[in-house]
Amino acid sequence: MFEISLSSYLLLTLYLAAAAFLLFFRTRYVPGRAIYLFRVLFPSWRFFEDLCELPVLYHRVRAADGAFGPWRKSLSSDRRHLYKLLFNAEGNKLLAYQGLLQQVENDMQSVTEGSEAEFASSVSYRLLERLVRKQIPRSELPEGEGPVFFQFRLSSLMQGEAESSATEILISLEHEY
Amino acid sequence: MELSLNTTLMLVERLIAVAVILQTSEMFAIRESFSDDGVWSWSVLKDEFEFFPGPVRFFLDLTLAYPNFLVVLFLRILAASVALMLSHAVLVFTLLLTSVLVCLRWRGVFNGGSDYMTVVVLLALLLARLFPESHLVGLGCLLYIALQLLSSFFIAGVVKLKRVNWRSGRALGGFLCSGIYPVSPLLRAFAEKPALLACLSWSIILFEVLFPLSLLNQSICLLFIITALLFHVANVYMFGLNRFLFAWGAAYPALYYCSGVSWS
Repeated sequence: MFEISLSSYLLLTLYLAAAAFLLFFRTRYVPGRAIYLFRVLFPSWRFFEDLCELPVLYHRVRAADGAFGPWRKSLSSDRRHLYKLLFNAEGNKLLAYQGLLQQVENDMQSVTEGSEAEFASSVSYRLLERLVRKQIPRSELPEGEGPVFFQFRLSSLMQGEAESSATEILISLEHEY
Repeated sequence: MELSLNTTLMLVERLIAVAVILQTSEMFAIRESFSDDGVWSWSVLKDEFEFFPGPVRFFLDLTLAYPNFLVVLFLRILAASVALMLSHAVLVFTLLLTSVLVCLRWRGVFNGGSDYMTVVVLLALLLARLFPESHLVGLGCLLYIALQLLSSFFIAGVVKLKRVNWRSGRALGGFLCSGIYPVSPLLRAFAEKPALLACLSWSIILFEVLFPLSLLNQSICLLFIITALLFHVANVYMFGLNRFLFAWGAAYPALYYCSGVSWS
């Protein structure tokens, strides 16, 4: 049989009060780079709060004297497997890539008109450029001698929506491969 | 099933050691991505830490640059392996310090929630191991883990309850179709059935919001823990979130113990 003490009821009431409080509570953004870097010490449990715009990464390449090829998606999907319950290195890396894209999108919100070039020297942009460089397969590189250039694009897509509804949020500079 | 305070602390410690071993093994497997040629090269990332004072930057340079960071990971996996057999504050401190360093190496967190829970458990365990003779400190530490665990479900549930997209089932459909895995035709068909989605959404919301009831007694608690474990497995299948299963798995014994304590 259940034995429920008075203090257990009190605990439960406290939680229900917290629920009522949370329903009217708005999250506030706390600025500060140090807090951001040490955010693991301040847990946030707002998982899957609502549908949001997710950034999608594309790239295209060209030979020095040629035109750019078509935009291609840079990140491919992972594959499900039973062993990934225990060991999912590739899946977690992909999630970290996705986190990087979201970080770039967040950082872009502080970019003001005229400071776009400055953004290209930011840590987020440079990491993104390295990510794209790693994701371009050899088969996509133009044949022949001479340097190859690439460009990447970040689009924003509402979760669950068709890709055609994506909106553009960043087109990169051209980079030599 | 009766668990003593010390047995519960030991169980939490062993389980978090398993979680850390798995997390670190995964990190070794993707070491190319944080090498000098990788995406997360320290030569780029270190600019992020420029505002720290010189000695801190020196320490971070020493520990987070490649290949030194591999030594940090090795130390982490070694401490976790020993923690499978022994209980000592030094081991827990090593796990905590290396966990925070790993998070810093990925600009704050590597995998969000699972990093939070790992640190929550390690912080509480460290305190318990620093005062091994104190029953009160041990109980406080388990209660802290249990409350964070309850909050992780409860807050996630309340924020969903506030959202019309969750109440209608639309949010769940959107999430199911935007993970890291390809969307199978079966899943797509499921995501296009609003009544089913709404039903499942409400089940998730109710389960999360009612999770604090698990504190009432151990039978109810066990029921919630079993459901939560199934929920974690579903999340691994849908979203690849395997680290959550083990980080949360380490915290459940604390909740189970607290649900059996007579608080009157």
